[in-house]
Amino acid sequence: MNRFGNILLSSLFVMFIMIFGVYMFSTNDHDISKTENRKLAQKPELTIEKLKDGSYMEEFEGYFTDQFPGRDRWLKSYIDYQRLTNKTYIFDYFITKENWIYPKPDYDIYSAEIEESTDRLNLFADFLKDKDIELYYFSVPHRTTVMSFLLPDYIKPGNYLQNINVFMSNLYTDENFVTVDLTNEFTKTFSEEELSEMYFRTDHHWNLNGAFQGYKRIVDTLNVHSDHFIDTEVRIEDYQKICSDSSVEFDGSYNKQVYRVVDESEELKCYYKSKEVDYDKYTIYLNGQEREPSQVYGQGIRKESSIVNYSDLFTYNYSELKIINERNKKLDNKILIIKDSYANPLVYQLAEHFYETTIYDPRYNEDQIIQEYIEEMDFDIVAFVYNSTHLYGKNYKFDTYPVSDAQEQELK
Amino acid sequence: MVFSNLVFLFAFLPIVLVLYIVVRNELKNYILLLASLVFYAWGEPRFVLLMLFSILINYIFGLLIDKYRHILTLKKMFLWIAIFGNVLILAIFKYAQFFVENINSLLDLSIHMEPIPLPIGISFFTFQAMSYIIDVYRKDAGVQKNLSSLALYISLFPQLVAGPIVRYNTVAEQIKKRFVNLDKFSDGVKRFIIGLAKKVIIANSFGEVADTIFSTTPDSLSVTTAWVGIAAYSLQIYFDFSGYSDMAIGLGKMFGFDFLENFNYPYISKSVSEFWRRWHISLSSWFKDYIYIPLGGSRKGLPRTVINLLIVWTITGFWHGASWTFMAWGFYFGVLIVLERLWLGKLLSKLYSPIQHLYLIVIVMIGWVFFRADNFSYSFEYIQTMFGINQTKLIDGQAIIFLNDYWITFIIAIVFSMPIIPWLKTKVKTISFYEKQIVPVQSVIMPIIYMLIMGFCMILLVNSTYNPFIYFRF
Repeated sequence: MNRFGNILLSSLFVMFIMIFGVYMFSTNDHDISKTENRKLAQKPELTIEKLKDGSYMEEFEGYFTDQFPGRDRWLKSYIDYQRLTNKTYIFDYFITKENWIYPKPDYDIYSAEIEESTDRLNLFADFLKDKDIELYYFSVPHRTTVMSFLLPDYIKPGNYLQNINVFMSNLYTDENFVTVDLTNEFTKTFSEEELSEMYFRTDHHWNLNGAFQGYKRIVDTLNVHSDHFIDTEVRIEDYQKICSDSSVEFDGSYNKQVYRVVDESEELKCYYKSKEVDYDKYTIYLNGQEREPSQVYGQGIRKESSIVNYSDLFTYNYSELKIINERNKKLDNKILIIKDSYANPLVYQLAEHFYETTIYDPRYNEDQIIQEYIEEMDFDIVAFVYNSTHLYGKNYKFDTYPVSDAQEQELK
Repeated sequence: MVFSNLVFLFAFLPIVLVLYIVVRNELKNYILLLASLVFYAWGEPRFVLLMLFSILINYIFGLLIDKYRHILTLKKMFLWIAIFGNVLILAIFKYAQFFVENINSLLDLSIHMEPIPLPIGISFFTFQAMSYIIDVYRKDAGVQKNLSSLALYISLFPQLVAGPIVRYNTVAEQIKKRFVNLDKFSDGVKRFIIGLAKKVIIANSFGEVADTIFSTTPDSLSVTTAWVGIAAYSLQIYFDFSGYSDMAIGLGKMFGFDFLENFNYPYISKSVSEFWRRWHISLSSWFKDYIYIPLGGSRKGLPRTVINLLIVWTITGFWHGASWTFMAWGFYFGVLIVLERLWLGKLLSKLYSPIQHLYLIVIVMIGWVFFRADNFSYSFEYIQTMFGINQTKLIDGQAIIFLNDYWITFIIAIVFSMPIIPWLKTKVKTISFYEKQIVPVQSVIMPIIYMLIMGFCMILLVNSTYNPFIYFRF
């Protein structure tokens, strides 16, 4: 290089390393990253203690990285580069050519953890049997457990089915405790093409089609086994599909992990509404407070937001949601649904069959012991609607607070 | 702090450069010294005192050696006390745990010792300090009467934490007087960007591969995965360490220093002896000048030469880490170098050149297994998997994923581990219109290419949470 080249390179380099620092310290810091959905580190407080133990430096580096100018743009460029070079996993997610996002498969077998959770569940069944309350456990198919066929041959599917089988075989079922493994049922019943229509490509949940099939099977099971249920046939024609405008973006949970680089235009942003039952006539209590039915179900579509997520389309994860359906007053049947987010699209449909439907999410009830809660109420049926990867953990604690073992120790 | 860190690149470096440029000449060393202490304290606030203590004792003993230069016994005594002091610092902070564990298992004792965290770069700055003391003793360099100048030599941030080990006699004059002009600054920038790219684009990528594979039990790996793992590690350690040396040399140039080269395309070697003349040159020459030659080198007959070689190479291994695997790794190379001296070298030189290269690559890769693995049993099992003795599959999904994901990086790394660029430069210069037509075009295009590489490194750095320098352990 000649002298001009040296001047050019030196100037560009010095400008490059100076411009970011100057820009960063002359502009306001951001509080949150919308893309990552988290708070960004702020300028740390400078104290002698923090300097001595090095924590100031660590915090400053975190702050510098979080507030780095154009951070989102740099991160998206990284993912574009990873996709361009055909990297198998991007931040531990595999993206297919058809824009399906998959987490890296989990190959672990959680026998010990599952044994603990199923032991607790069996005891819980005994507890309910003494009270003459029917218990149902619906293991609804998580996307990772039924959709591995879209992965290329060289990616071995995770050991999800093995874990589900261990879980199911550990449960002592009888006429009062009925279990339904919908993962195996879905796999046997539906073709790969049909299954592909039942899940979001960029989110870890099922869409309205998958959820509707789950709802149908729950009703079929209750038809057969429950004494508190009027036989009903669930028909798709009795429901109306309400969809958001095609311009509305879908904010998938997996897509968030890869900085929303995956095209989500083919996602079904819809929910089902009964033609027969007027959901607006439900009486809704959210954590004891009365709410309008339209404030709880499908509100994202009604609000005409420019971007919706799974919860916006159906319902959010509430700690307790009570639905009174006056149409069934004479039946006076009461169900408690202990659930995770997979049940969110089903709540209004399930409420069609009961006078009182209580939706209870143990993840948001850490200060409540479920058995004590049940003692206070008057349920006829308790039904679990957990996704098929939700096989162990704190949400299987029924006679103690549903907190982690570490938190439990702290409480003691 | 590390060079491939956003705080270093966009806060520390610009501030230091600006201050260095604007202050008067006589203050420039103070700016660099202050910057070096901040640089070290950023990662190791407590251990900056240890480094200052090391500087002080070496300063005092340097003066004493010089003062009693004419009284041999005193001069020798001060030399040995200073060496003992430096080795003691290393022994306490790097090897104490190892010694206690081995004494416990050998004598069936249960001496308890709280783990001592390893101060980063301790092996580098201690060796530099010893280099100063020995150079003063041997009169290879004059004593440094200015404490801040000696402090600057030992703590100079470009080479503080991962070398190269700068010998005192090679920079003594530069500390007093040095110059930096546009050409030299620009050379420094080029070298720094190349080093950054080696580290961020290549070494970090292979680090992910090697870490995943070496955290798996060898009997769960396919033969291909085992080879991918060790190939990735071999390239990671080269690009990581030589990248760091490039950045150090480049930064040195920006501040007017000329450090000696530390790597010279080691993987193109045809023998182990040649490999070690090209790999971590500053360490090999340190051991040669300060241990091998004082032990008698090759001047005292063959049996003594063999013993000297084995001693030096075992210590070289031990320098890399306080474990038997590092020592075995050093001893392994010592044995091979001895064999090459005795007969193997002659035999190899008669073989077809690619076979000589293959011999070296396989030998070095096997050596890296011991270097990377935590213990002997893992190393032996891993080697068994590599050669199909464990009867694992030839290839599996994991191997396919790694090959699919990293084949481009492997090609880039293999190409750039050979002297392609110097070869191309030489070829281009022979073109008749080089000066008139190529240089002007090159002068516009090359800065843009360098800055694009820098921008690409930024993409990886802003994303990266994976950014450790391997040689920090040493």
